[in-house]
Amino acid sequence: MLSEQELELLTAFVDGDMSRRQRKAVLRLLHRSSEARAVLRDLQENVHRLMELPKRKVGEDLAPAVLQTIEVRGLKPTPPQLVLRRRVPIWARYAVAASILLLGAGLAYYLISRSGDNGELVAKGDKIKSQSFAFQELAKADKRDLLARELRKERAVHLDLKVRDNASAVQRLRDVFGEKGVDVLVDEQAKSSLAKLERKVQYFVYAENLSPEEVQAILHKLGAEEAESQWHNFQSVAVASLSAEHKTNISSLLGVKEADFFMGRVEESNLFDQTVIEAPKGKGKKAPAIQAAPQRLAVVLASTGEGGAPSQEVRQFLASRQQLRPGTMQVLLVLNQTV
Amino acid sequence: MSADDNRLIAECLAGRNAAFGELVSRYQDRLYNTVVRLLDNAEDAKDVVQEAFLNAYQSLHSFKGDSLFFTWLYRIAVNTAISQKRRQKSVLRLHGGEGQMVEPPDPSQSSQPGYALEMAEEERRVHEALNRLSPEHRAVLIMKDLEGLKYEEMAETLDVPIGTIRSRLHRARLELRDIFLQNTSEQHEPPHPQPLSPKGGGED
Repeated sequence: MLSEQELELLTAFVDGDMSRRQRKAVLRLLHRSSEARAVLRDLQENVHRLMELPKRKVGEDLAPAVLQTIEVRGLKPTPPQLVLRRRVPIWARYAVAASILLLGAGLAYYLISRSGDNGELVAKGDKIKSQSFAFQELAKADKRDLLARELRKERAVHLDLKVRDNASAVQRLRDVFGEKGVDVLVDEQAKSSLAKLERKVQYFVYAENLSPEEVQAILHKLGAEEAESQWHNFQSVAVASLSAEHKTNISSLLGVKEADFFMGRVEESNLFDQTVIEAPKGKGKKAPAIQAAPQRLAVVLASTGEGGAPSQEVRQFLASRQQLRPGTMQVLLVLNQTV
Repeated sequence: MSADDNRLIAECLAGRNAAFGELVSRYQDRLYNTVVRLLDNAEDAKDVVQEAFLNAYQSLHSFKGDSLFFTWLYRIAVNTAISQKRRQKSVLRLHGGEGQMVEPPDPSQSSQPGYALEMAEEERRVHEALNRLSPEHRAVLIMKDLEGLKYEEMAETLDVPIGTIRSRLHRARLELRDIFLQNTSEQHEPPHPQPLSPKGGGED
């Protein structure tokens, strides 16, 4: 049995990383020990195996793809930030640390007390059994039906999307929402985070007055594309009721009161009081003209939103809000980049 | 740093993005070859390499030229790949699995019948063995044996002392040897006799 030190000598010998004295020691070891010779042979064979692996090439399309991504995302080489260092007295550091602790404790107390208020509100609508679907499976009839059933259960849903790349996902969602007549606005802060390729940032896409069928069609469209795609940007979607935490987050990012935000909380009778346009009875009477649906907007927000004055996009979105129409819902998509 | 790289970086900083395209074309295959061996998945490797280039592009101002541009780029890509490998190991993959090296072997390597198949089989065996190592051990072996990097370059890439590289390499080589020995002995073992099942079968 070779000692650890002898094994170290043998692996160093394979890498040619040794002094003259060590080299002599290895040669002596190899001369007297058949086990050492066997180990060395194995180690050298393994080096050979790795060296013999064929060279892989990425393909000609990478450089154009990189340049295109740079253009689409509007990327630029960012000059490093200048950091001014000043001498801060030690007492001032302690004072700042103590203030941060106090602020943190206060904030935690505030958030906990607020989440308690919302819990009751959420429990009423918490009907969807959380379900996760791989996008590529959405083409299957059973999955599609299951998704449709879940979506019809609620008027405020949360869709958690796992994606490989947030920026491309946002762009694709804008296109697909656009096809459904929903213009997607990207908040200033979100634009900036997307351009910086900030991986840890979550992106919220919030829309209202979408029917379950429209949401299903959007997801189905993305799923159909994924089935044909080589890249698989959209990986999975988990469907659940909109949680209290998300309501708090989204209303905070929009700069509105939570009660205002949750428009689905209006009286049940209002929500289901569908104004059915019936064909007039009797001959010669014309059907009333159906009014065009108001412009629908969705907004993309980043979890890094710092509050303050709402961006132009947020203001535009808030100005466009309408009472929830019967049979429609509030939809929050949360994008999580997995790579 | 290569004068040519230097020129391309300067042009890129001056706003000529095509210059960055030249840098990508120049280094993409070398970078990809390492990353694909680290991740064992062609698509993931392509994504990581692309992200590495995009990160490098955005950080071009911070590249001071005290190392080779490729070394700098390599560091970004390898560390991204190792992080991803760590995540893959810790997360149960729900959709699809590891080991999706689906690229066919290069047909130009040999026209002998069966050669390509043999090569592909050997490649699969090596990747299976590598997959059983930790991402850190796998990385040092690939950098040393596949890329021929020096200890100093490996230490700079992984941002660890040279002593750590030595010790990782030592451990990785012994582990890999054990794995291959284990695999070989499993292949040569006679098949286990089937246990006699009780009458009527089943274990209820």
